[in-house]
Amino acid sequence: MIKLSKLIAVIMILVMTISLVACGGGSSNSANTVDPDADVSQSNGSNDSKDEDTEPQEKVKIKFLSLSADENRNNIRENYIKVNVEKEMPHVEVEYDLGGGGQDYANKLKAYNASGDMPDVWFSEQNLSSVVIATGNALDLLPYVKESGFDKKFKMKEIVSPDKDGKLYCVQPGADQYFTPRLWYHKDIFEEHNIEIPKTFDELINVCEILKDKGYIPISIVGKDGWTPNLHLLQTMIMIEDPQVAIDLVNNETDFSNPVVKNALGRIQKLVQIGAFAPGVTNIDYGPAMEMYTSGEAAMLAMFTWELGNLEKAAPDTDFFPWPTVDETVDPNGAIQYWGAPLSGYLAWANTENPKVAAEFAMFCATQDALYYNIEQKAPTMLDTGIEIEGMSDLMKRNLEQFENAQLKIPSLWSAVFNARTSAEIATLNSMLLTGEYSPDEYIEAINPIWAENFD
Amino acid sequence: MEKYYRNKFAIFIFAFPALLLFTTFVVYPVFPEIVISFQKHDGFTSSGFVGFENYIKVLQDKTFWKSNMNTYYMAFISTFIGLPISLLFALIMDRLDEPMRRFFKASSLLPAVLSVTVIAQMWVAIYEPQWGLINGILRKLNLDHLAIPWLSNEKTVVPAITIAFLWQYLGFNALLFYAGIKAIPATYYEAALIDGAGFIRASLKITIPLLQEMIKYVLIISVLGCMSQFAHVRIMTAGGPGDMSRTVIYHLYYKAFSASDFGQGCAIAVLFIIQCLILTFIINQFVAREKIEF
Repeated sequence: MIKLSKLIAVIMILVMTISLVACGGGSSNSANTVDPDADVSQSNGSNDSKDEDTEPQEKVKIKFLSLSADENRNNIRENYIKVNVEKEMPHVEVEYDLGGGGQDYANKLKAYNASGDMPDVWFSEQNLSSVVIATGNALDLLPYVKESGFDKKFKMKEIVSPDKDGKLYCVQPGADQYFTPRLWYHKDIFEEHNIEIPKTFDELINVCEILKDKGYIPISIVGKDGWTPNLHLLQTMIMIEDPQVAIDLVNNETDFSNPVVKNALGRIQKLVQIGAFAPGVTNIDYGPAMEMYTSGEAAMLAMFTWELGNLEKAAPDTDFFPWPTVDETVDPNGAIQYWGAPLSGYLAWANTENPKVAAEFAMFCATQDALYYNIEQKAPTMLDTGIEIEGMSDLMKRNLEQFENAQLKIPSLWSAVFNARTSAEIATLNSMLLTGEYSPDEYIEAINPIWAENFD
Repeated sequence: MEKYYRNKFAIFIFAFPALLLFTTFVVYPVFPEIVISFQKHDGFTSSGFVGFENYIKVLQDKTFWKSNMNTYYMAFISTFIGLPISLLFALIMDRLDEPMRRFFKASSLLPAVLSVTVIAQMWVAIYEPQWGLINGILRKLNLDHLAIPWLSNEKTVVPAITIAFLWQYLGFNALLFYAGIKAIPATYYEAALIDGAGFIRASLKITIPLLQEMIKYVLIISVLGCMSQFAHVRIMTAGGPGDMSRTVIYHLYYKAFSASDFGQGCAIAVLFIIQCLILTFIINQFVAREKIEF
């Protein structure tokens, strides 16, 4: 018996030793590892190494964090970046990190930022980009942009102009500058129930009540983390009374105590209280909000024009009307808000192993982004991709026409959010506002100190 | 055996690896956390020491107290409603036939082994205002006025999350109690049976008193589990609407990662550790103080 035990023990030791040796020896000849100091040209295959002909070309690994909660971002990643990177950047192997959307994405990026171990390239909006830049984690892309001539492709040079510190941290497709929030609606539903397009806010309330009685959700919005009020609804509600107050708020020349802002908060509260939004709106994410509208469950949708192409495909009876103003003295077409912010786009990590490849990949992503909008959405971009946009739909033409004709173009309030705390607190407060039980006074009391700190 | 227990050096040598790991990964990280709690820190860089400012801000923050209320509400419900139900399940399970018992054991364990994400998503679907199970049943019963958005209503959101959390661990706690019941010698029950004691009397006079140590164990893991409740809240409501369903740990996460204020986040963590230590001390003081030997 003892001999048998000893024999088993010896066999076990041998098996474990062999398996340890077998499992532990694979790292020395990994095809994907690369010398951090290696020049990009080497990975492109331009060196004279004798091994070049005999060994497979080493690929540079790039970790790319992207938004994955909306269809546009998914299409850009899956159908443009993934497909074209193999053709245009064969020396690059991309590891895709899907970060979700909204606050989930923000938290993920902030956690990366806090750890100091960032993805090589990522997409982020202004408020998040500011956080990363402040901690020194963003790469200055200016030398690479100049070297490649990427800056010469932009119709609006401000997009590729360096920041105050002389550095350029973000490259973007320049589609954002054309994006504006619209109130989309199903023409068929309105016609079926003989509903007139509302011109004033009171008429909008009336329309919502009629639609609710007919069994529709009047307006579909993204309520999770207060997304729609964060990104445009609050500003829209200000602009329908006095656009100048929105400009003043963006420039910190007024605060939330301004009576126009208070009225705007009250209007959102009223919309919630009359049931203009879906039940449980505070838990509705981007995808379900879109689905709610395209399925015909909701009659209207408060959303940016970046969804125009998707809406035309998924709900062909879609049209839009200008946001109804508080009264007829305010021109609904006079002012428009636009989404684009200087730091919304693709950034690269300052400590990436291959800064040149990371910068090239960021520019590649911006280009693919622009291509997607030019080709799929028939939408213009400030980045000239060489694509002639043909067959622009009537809806897109009218959208651009109204955009161009607006005398006042106001940047998004969200682009004036400079730190993580402000964006997080605004998201919390807007989520509370969507319960319908949080008063404008409570909101103002909570937001004013945070807003003041935002500009310190 | 006594001789071995007297050899302190041997005890130290045997305990050393575990002690080293525990100190490195559990005790040590608390100290940097305490240091950061006295700093203005964004998670990446420190702007210097600020004394007790973070603690003052945290203690003046209404959301911190609301998060504490939510956390204690969950712990209270879990202790005073969840545990008695689990105990009742365990007592019933003990009296069942073998096939039924096996079925109960498997179904008790299933929710506990499933991912929290799966459970939380399932409950989100159950609570869905328009097509969810609960509101569907209420509408079928012509109780439309009761069909509310459970996870978006200030009054129902915390109880709704608590039910989901409770449901997941009800069966697991029942299994722990059942294991404790099985350790009680059958002779006690045989004697009770001769004396004419039925199920209820035997449970009250024999099972529950002799189960004290297991009750204490389940109580501690259950209370501390509720105290560190995060995943269900994160998935079901993300602490919302607004901050209405935040627990202490979720608020800590929000401060540290959403608002990038690690100083306040660490201050909340330190206060949380103190609360957990006090709770454990109280449970140890008042529940099953004497060791039960059969």
